[in-house]
Amino acid sequence: MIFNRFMFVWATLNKTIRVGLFALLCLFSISSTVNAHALPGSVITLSEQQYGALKVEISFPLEDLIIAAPELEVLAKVDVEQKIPPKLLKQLSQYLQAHMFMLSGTEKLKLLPQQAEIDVVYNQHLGHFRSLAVELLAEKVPQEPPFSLSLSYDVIMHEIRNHRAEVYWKKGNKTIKLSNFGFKKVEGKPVIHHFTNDLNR
Amino acid sequence: MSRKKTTLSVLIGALLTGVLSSSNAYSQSDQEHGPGAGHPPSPENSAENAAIQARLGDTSTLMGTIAIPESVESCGEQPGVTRLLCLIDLLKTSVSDDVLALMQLDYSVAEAKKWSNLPAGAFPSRPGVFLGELKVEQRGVVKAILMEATGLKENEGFDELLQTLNADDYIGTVSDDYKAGYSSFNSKLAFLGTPSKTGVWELYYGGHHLALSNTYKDGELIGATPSFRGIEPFHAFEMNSRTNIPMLQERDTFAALLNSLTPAQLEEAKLEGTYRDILAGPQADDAIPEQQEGMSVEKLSDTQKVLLLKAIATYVEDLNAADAKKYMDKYRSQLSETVIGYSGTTDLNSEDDYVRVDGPSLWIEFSLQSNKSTNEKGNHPHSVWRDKTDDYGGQQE
Repeated sequence: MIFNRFMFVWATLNKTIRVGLFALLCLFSISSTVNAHALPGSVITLSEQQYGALKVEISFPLEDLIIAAPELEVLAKVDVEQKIPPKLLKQLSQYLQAHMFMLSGTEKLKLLPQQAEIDVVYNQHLGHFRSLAVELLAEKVPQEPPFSLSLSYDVIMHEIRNHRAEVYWKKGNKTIKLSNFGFKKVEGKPVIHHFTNDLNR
Repeated sequence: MSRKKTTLSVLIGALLTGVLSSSNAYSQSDQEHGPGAGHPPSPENSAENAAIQARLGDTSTLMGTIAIPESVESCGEQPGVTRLLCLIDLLKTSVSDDVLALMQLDYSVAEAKKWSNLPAGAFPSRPGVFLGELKVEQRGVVKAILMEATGLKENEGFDELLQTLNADDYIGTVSDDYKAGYSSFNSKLAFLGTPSKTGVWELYYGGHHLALSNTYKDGELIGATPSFRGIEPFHAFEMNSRTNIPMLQERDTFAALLNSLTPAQLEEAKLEGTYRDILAGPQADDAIPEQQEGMSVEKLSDTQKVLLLKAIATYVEDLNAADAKKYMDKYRSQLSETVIGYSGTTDLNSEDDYVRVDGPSLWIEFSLQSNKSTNEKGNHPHSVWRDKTDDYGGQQE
């Protein structure tokens, strides 16, 4: 009886609405496994590349990014495991540039966006969630080793105050944790974190 | 009939497609996101994790109903550190060498910092022996130890600890996350440093949604924080033959305070930003902002100040009466330099609702976030009491 009534209502809907409802159903079947319990912070991995370049890989939960930067809500429509289109990558990069910078010595590095994609990742105690991974490249780091790198970063945490960031330095197969910090400002500006000693170990 | 079948198969197909595509994505992403892809090394595969998984249990410790053994009478009835030390000696002499090695550890702040809101399976680094690894009579002595160190008011102190254990037993009946270790079996007890009337030591007790870290020096309590409490389910629930509501009082007293504020006060107390969790949670000892944000308590009426003190008491009275009085006196004397702030609704019943008290010493946060463990719709609180001057007993190493 209920099924027949559902079928009657379904049949009276026009095709566009039916397609829309179908898409919503598909989306629900994915998102129902996502848990909104406080999500992990940013993970920033720095690694030295050939020809004096520095790779900066950043990942963070997409849900928190959209709360912090509602103008990037369109990212929620991007398919998982697909490269983000150039126009969106540029928009994402503009947001990142407004909330982070890196210094080599005292010189500001130009961080060029290379690629980004959204993946559904699993965390044992948080469940599944969509994570955005973005890769930036500083083509020519002015200094040869020993490095002197500094980072200013308040991506997401400028809005979501419990969001934290972990910074890693990757050299070959070795990964060293450089820092773990939360939102903090000194005289209205985000704190700059210096990594010199750890980079040259 | 054929259209009915077609639609039905399309709907089932959609659901299967969604579920399968998402699970494929999960497994693939797990493999791809190792170190070097912007993600840290996963602790979930560590040897430490494997060792903890082997020790986890799923039986209730029934701490609420087990008897305190008669041997405890030898420690007398006079409350205080002398009795606490006697009870601890009683426990230590009753356990095997293996259990003692798990329970009695050297003191270090680094070890004391290994507390978490997470269940045992998700945070393998907690020091100590699981309650479930102790014999029933030994758990009876642990009960006496915790009752000596904590407050005895209904829904606070020891009663709050019991209900938090009951919550894990409850989650164990509804969750299929078997690796998490949702059971009262899996809360841990440790002594960091040798309990004695001389020197520094900490009574460490913690598990899912709970961290008690009482630091003692030369026979006195010198630090009662970080003190973390959380609960899921947040609503009243039946478990282990009782109704459990361990944290509704914290929420209700804070909501009463916030709802008493005038529009102008609310405007001033409103914090910038969104709070999806507390700031000064586990492994975030540096998170307390240097500058206070919110509204000065000086701008509260006397009635509102009473409401604030009631809210603070729901944390401080987790301690035994004598120690709680010292802290309440301290915080009362610092009220004029204290601020309150909030974000979200004043009823504190919605996701991302948040309230904070920030004084020269006092730091309390209460945050609501969506449920995780019970698969029920709704929210549950995370909350922490810290003392900026004597967190971890003011120890540095």
